Amino acid sequence: MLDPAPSAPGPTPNPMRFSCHKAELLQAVQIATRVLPSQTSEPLFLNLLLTAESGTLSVYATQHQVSLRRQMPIEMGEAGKVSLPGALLSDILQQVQTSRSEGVDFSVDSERRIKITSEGAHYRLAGIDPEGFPELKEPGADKSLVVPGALLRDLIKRVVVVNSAAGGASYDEVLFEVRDATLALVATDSVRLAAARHAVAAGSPDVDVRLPLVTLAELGKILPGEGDVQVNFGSHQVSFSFAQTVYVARTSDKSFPNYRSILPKDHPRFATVDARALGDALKGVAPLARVNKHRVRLHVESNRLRITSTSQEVGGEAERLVDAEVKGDPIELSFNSRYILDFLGVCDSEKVKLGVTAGSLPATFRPEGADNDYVYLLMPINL
Amino acid sequence: MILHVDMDAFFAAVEQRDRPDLAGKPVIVGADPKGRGVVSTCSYEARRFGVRSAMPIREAFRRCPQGVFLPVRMEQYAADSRRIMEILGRFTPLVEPLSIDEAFLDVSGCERLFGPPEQMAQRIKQTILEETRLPCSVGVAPNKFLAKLATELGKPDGLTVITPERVQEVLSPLPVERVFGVGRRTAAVLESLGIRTVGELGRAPRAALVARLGPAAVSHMQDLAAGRDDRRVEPHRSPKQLGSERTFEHDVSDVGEMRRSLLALSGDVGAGLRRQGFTTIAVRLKVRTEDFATFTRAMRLPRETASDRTLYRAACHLLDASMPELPVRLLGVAACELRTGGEPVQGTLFGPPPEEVRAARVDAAVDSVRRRFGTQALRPAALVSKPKPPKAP
Repeated sequence: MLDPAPSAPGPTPNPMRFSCHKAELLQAVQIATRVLPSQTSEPLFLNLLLTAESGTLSVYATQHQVSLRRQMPIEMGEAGKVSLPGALLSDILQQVQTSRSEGVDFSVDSERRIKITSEGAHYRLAGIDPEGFPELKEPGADKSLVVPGALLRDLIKRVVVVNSAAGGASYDEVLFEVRDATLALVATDSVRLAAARHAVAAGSPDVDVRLPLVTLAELGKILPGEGDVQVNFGSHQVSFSFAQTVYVARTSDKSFPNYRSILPKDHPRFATVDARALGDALKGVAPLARVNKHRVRLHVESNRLRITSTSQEVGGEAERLVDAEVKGDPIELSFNSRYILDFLGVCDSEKVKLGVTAGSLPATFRPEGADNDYVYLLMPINL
Repeated sequence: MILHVDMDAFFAAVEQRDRPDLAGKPVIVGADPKGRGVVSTCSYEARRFGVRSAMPIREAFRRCPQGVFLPVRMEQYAADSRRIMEILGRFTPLVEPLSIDEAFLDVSGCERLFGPPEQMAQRIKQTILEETRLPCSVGVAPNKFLAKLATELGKPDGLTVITPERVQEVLSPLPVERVFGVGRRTAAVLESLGIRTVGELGRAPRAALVARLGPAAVSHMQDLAAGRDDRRVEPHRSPKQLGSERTFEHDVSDVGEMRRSLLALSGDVGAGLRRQGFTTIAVRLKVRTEDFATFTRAMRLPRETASDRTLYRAACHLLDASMPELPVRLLGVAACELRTGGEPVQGTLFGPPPEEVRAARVDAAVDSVRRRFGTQALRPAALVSKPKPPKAP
């Protein structure tokens, strides 16, 4: 019989103390807690690690796929680190915002008890031993790329709309590719494929990695509209550094389909239409398309698009007309209107160009005049 | 008021019109008289010999060996049918075709244009005769059931009016079998209760009938017996089913041969569905054994289809599940719950397309070959009979 292992004595917790701007701290904690899973079997991943050192506070959160570290200036008391539940801290700091002071004091005593104080508001909670908190593994800058944050944000926005597998194989990662100084993000759910591209600095290294779509979608939400993002490519990780933040994502080793081979080179028919009018027309026929899983019929006619939906269930029919500049013979195809609306929601263009070939072949949607920047490939519904 | 128009011995009448030498002769349209098929239609002259529609063709030949036996020329009949339906459409848009040679017309409110219903019926008869040289019978009555009954009472070349006042007088003496839905079995049950005429059926105490026949059937029967029928004329009603059946040259016990027959029948049904733009969600198999016992089995499909292959699989499944012990005389495959439009399938960018889509492409390709080169141009290999060895010189 063995005695139960004595609990490791561990080092006596260091007291830790700092003061900072309460809104800034809330923002840092909110951004960091975004990467925490809402449910997990690993309770550690629900915690944040706070490290105060030389006038800087690091708020660090990590889980299997992604890690995030946010730094901010503080008024140093005593250097140290502590771990604590992220959601609870976020909740507390939200309430602290109503205190009379702009500042907040944060301290941890030798018993690892945390005190958060802002004028007229006092919170106490038990801290957690920071030992064993997974460290941030940041890839080096050997292979790196610099892109404007706003550009990366837009590219992400344009591909992460493709996120529902409506049939067939599902790919839940995004291809992140640099080739010949062009950055391309590609996502597909096997019914549609979105490829968003933009030139990057000459001399940028060629890379080809795959990142989970959810990871990239989260990144898109926290990227700032100003300043640059430095992207470092490691062997299994990619880091995105911007404005006091490092976001590290683990790459996926699943294969991604060869998207170039399925991008149609040309179409026998094109229709250029006003993006807003097309969106209104698609929404316009929705009342009778809903029961049919949003199926609408697109009639490409000589100088317009006629969009119809019918419902046998209620014995009804809806029709909307949109002026269009059409090249090629008339054709009729069926689509899931939601998938077209997804494109319209992110295309950022006054006019869009639709290319169609046949009812069984993919159609392309592009912003007019920026054909190469964004291609949204959509499979019609076969009748 | 409702009009029911029914062509008299339609297929036979078309043949007699196109071949004046057949006028006044017993004409029997249907299968090869030496084979094992059935009579489609026979002229009134043939009926005098006891020949009837759906009778085995050999029996017809036995009863009327002097008859003129002709094959079915469906395309010609269909062309005449279209002209007839077009004529009916000139009188009212409310025309509900029931079959190739029969339709209901709702003429309520057309009196200002065409006079009273009886007069309109006369004009319809006359117009059809003038433009197609084919005779028909017309029934005029307050509802569909009575209008159809009136037509039957007046055939051939009849014009019968059942006014609301005359309904009971006409209905009461008729045998109960005249009520739609009363077949041989129900008639036997009614007879055991002492009910032989429509009048007796109408007067019979409901409770006694319900105990034997169930409440829904009794309500239906007694409504009709009282001359009540509120079904409307539905101009755009699509056909409810589409089937094909075949009597074997000899009774069949071999499962392989039955399957080959189902393959051919499923192909006919599939082609018919696709030609008319229908799909079906249910398939019915009909089996008649050598002792003439007939049964049907039906199943619903997981999704709508017009594919030969899917219909064939369902038919085989039904056959396997109900394999008759006796040799089989006839097999039939029917698409029995038709839909229009078809169920859409979202296409995918990668990998093979869904099976239904692939099957539909094959069918479409086969259909287009057959449209150009005839229905025999492309067939499943299983249906191609072995080529005969070349004759020795």
